[in-house]
Amino acid sequence: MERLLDVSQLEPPEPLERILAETPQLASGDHLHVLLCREPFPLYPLLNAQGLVYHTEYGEGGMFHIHIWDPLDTEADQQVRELISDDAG
Amino acid sequence: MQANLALEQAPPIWVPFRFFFAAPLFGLLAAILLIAGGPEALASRWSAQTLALTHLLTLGFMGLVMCGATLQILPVLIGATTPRVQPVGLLIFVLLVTGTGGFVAALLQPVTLLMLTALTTLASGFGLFLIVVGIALWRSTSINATRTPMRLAMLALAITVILGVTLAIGTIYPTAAINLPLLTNTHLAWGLLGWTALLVIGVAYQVVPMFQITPVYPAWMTRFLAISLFSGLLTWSALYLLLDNKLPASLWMLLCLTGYTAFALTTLWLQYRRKRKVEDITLLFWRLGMSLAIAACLLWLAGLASPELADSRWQPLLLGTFLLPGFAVSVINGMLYKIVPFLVWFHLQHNKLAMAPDVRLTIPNMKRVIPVARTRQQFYVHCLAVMLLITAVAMPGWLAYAAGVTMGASFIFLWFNLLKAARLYNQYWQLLQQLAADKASA
Repeated sequence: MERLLDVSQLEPPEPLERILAETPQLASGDHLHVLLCREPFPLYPLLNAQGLVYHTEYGEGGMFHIHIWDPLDTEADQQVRELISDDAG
Repeated sequence: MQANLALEQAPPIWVPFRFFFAAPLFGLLAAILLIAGGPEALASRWSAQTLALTHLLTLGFMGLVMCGATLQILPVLIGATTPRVQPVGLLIFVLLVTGTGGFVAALLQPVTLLMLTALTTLASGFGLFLIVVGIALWRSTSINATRTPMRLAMLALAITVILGVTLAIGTIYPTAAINLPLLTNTHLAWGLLGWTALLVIGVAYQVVPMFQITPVYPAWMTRFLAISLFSGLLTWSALYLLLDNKLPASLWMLLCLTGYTAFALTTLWLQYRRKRKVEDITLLFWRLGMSLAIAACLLWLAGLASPELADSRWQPLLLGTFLLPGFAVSVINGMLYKIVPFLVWFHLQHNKLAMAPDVRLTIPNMKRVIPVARTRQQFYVHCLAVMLLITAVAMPGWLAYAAGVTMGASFIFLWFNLLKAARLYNQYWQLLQQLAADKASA
């Protein structure tokens, strides 16, 4: 299941803090969909340190969409891959 | 999909920190030089003391912070990775610090061998910096308004360094082929309007909306301003160096200054419209910097209208004061109060996740890293220093000593504020190490 987190209006490092507060609480089958105004390069090593993976897309209105999930969670992994291929198609 | 990002994309904290800690010490040396020289240090832009003072600020303070910040900002803002950042960062630091020290010493006590050694060291340091940053920028594929201004700022730095080295060699081995006054003005323009201003512009596009919660810069500005200014500087340089009549170059520079003024006014306007009206000392530094940048443009315009003013002793010195301690030092000083707390927070967060992810330890918020009261106090001292410097240039006398003392106090204050941040980092780093060791032994 997708959990949406819009941190686009927050001042650094609140967006990263909010994301890092959410990621340990991802249940099996869940992935986090984050909305941000800029690509959060500092976030990526922090996600890697937690064993998580991510996919970033640049959307309409200058918004970045970041999907974050546990690669060992097969259900979440499949969901995100389907989402990505739907968007690409 | 991106899975594993190498740690080199988040350079270890001491890569930029050693630059940030050394920089205020060069600012302090500039202040000491001003105190020692008194009014003589502000008598003429061509005196050895003024040149030394200028380069302590430009190479020592501004240069070190900008190089350290670039090595850190590239991965953060545009995802550009610097190859072998740890050993390369250290080598660049050593070359720039020793080169700057040697260069300033050679300005004050001309010794040809010392000057040539210093020039080689500085050129090597900047050369290595430009190579690694160039590689990082070339690799970057991010969609980002900062990338083009940063690439142009690095080109401008290369031109500044080449002109500077040529000037210094032209001083040691005079030749009719090198017109020292013309080349000096060109070197100055590329250093301030090229490297410094373009870097500030590029970083501002990201950092002002991000950290100051302002609307974003207009699309026409982020798309066209940097390339227009760079092209404008190139054209101005050609007109200035090649034509005997300086009027076309002056008119072209007027056009360029319109672009810089537009950026400064836009920044002030965006900051006025920001959504969260909480106290932000960085904002005050930027407002001071942008205001003095506009004042510099107006002063230059006044010089264009009045040749008597342009030929006066104090107009070029005042321009330099508006642009160096006024604009550049203010903006850079303010940025340090965002960059350093962010780095402390980020590296502690990363270390916690890597070493002790299950431990209940709250990493301190950015605002706790350097107390706001201390940054506010340093801002007031910096403001006073800038005002005293401006007055001392216009009315040389005992004010030069007062300006030097205040400027020195401001840099000392800044250094101790940065030290507070480093101590907080070390405190939590040691705590994390202890928690990780306890967890491993349990």
